This record gives sequence, C-alpha cells and structure tokens, in this order.
Amino acid sequence: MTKSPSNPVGMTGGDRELVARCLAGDRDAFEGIYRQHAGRLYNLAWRMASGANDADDLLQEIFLQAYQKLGSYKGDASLGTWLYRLAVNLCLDRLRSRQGRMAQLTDSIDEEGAPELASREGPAELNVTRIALEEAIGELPPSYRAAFVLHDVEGYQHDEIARMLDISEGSSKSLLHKARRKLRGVLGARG
Amino acid sequence: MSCEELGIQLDDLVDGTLAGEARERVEAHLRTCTACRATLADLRRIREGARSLPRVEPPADGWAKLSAALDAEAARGRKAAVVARPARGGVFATWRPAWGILAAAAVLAIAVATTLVLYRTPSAPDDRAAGTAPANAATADLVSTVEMELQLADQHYQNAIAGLEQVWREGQGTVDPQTAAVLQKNMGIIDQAVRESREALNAQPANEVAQTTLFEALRRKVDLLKDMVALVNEMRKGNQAGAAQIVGGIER
Repeated sequence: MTKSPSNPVGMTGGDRELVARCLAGDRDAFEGIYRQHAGRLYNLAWRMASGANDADDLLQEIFLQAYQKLGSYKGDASLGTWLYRLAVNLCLDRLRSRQGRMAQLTDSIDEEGAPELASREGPAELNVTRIALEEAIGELPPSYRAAFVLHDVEGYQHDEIARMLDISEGSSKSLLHKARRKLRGVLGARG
Repeated sequence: MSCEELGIQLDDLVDGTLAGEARERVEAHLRTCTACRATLADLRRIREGARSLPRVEPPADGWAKLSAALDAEAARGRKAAVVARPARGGVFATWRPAWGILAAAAVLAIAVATTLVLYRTPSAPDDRAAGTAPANAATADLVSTVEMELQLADQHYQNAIAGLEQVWREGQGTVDPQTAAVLQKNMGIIDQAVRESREALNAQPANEVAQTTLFEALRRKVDLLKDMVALVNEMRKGNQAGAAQIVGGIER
C-alpha cells in the first residue's frame, strides 16, 4: 500500500490567514504560499512537461492562475490539495493543446482500448534507468502521463487521482494500467 | 484464468492492493505462465524506477519572475478596467484598484506595527516610533472619492515609513558601516522610484500605472526598512548569526 502525500484535511488556520491576507492584496502572503508549495508543484510540472524549460513556464502559470482564482477557494480541502488539483488540470490542458488535435485523437483512441502485449522486444531484464524512464514518460499521451506521474511518481491513491482529474476510480486504474504497458513497450524497444 | 483476463489485476498485485481469492487466482496463473511473470517483473521495475526518480528544485528566481508577472497582470488589468468602463465613469470605475491598494496598505501598516512592537524593549529610547504606526489602519473612515482613498493609503505607508525610519536612525550605529552603506544605497534606489512615480502622478493624477508603481515602491521601502529594523534588533541582542541571515536575505 502506498502512502498518500496529500492532506485530506480542509483549510487550516494558517491557510485561512494566508488566503485572507492575499485577498487583501498582501504580496508577502502570496510569496509565503509560493515558497510553501512551489517545490511539490514544480516536480509535477517537470514530469508532466518533460523538462525544465516548460516546467518553469508552467509553474509560473499555475501560480498566476491560483492568484486569480484564490477568491473561489472554499476551504473544503487544504490549500495544498486545491493548488495541486489546479496544477494537474492546467498541466493537462497545456500538454493537450501543445500536442494538438491529432494527439488528442490518439489519446482518446488509446484510452478506449490499447492493445495489450504479453511479450515485448528487448533484453530479458527491462532496463529502467532514470533517463530512459524520463524519456519514456515524455512519450505517454497526456492522460496516461497524468495517471502515471500522480500514482507511481508522486504516490497518490486512485481515489485521490479520480477526484483531481474528475474521472472515476476505475478510469484512473485503467489509465495507469495502459501507461505502464506503454512504458514497458517503449523501454523494451530501447533495450 | 487466461493472460487476457489478468489485466488490471496484475497492476493491483504490483501495487499490493490485490487480496483474497482474486490474488490466489492471479498467483496460480503466474506459476504456470512465463510471459506474465516477465510482465510482472517489468511492471515492478517500472514502478520502482518511478518511485526513485529524484526530486527537482524549482528555479531560484521563480518568485522574482512570478512577482514581476503579477505586477504586469495588475497593470494590464487596471488599464483594461479603465478602457472597458469609460461610460460608467465615476467612483466605481476605479474603486476596486483603489480599495485593493488601501487594503494592502492597511495590512502592511498592521505588519509594521507588529514589527515595531516586537522591536521595542525596555532599553528602547522611547515609544514614539511605535506610536506613529496606526494600529487601527484597517478601520479607515469611509471616504467618498477614489482620490481620498489613495491619499489615505499613501498616509498609511508614510506613517509606517516614518516609524521605521526613526528606529533605524536610532539604531544604525550598531550596524557595520559597510552594510549600512549598502542598505542606504538600496534605499536611495527605492526613493528614486518613489520620486519618479510621484512626479508622474502630479502630472497625471489618474494615471493608474503611476499609482501602481508608487505603491509598489512604497511597499518595497517598507519591506527594506522592516529588514533594517530587524537587523538592528539582532545586533543589539548580539546575535551575529541572525544578523547575517537578515543581510543575506536583503542581498538575495
């Protein structure tokens, strides 16, 4: 059983104070939020974008959007969870728009049913080095990538991923299943 | 059970979430199927590889860039508000930005008052410095025009700055002259920005960009003064490490 990194508790007193100060125009308070959450969100953006350049832009966009939407934060989840959900969806939007319409079509076709292969090419033992894995993650369709990064890299549970992506728990499992099979194929082909 | 039927259950086995009869059936199949055992081994390697990917650090200048982008957004938003609502005119055309600045000034004035209260010790020369920062800034009187709102916000900043400057003047002798010179130089740059914004506002009182830059410069001045007062405080306590940390933060 994996340990979830998320905080299921709602808004804390500290969150409440920070948000109130931000809404009153206190830039220092927003800097406090940035310093507290930028690390975790940057890792998400880095893996979703497959690289530092795009991740830098994504991180900035995440916090710009958070600043604009802070007034809609109701406090039913912790501020960290709210930010993470916003970040995941923004990363997915950007990834999908960058990959274009054709990629979206491929993504949806893949989601409907990728063929499963019992065997694969390559050596008997799969070579999963860091660089090979990072590159292979970059080849995943957006929704597969989100499920894989959230579950296998960041350690979220399927019920949490389902809430973040607004899908069913079964869909989250299915996306992860297909992501792992595709990674296996890509890594195997590279030897 | 066939290989095709295994499906997601193999992932559940990898994740340790497969139990009971389902797990027994999968394990029974694995005992007889070399291909599925190979798949299981690969999936475990992928999962382990993912878990051991190193954490990456956000860019060191991330906040500086974001802060600049927020300033740009705010300036664009105010311009758009003026362009989009010319017909309505009156107080409401600029009420929100003015209120935002006033609210920020009030929050900041309270923060400064807190800084000064924390600074005050029995050895402090007198209580005048703390008295100059309005603790009740958040409860500003209702005003009827945007111009009055801005003046009020400006007054909050001026009160806060006056209190902090007095404390700095009284305590700057405790700070290394070289450090004090650097701080004064930084302050000179900010004062220049304040002067330029005020000149622009004198020429065009409704210039919202000038309003924004003025209050941003005032905010930066208060931030620097707060750090300078904190530095004096640490020097008086003989806490060199704390002082060095504050100087490092200012230089950053």
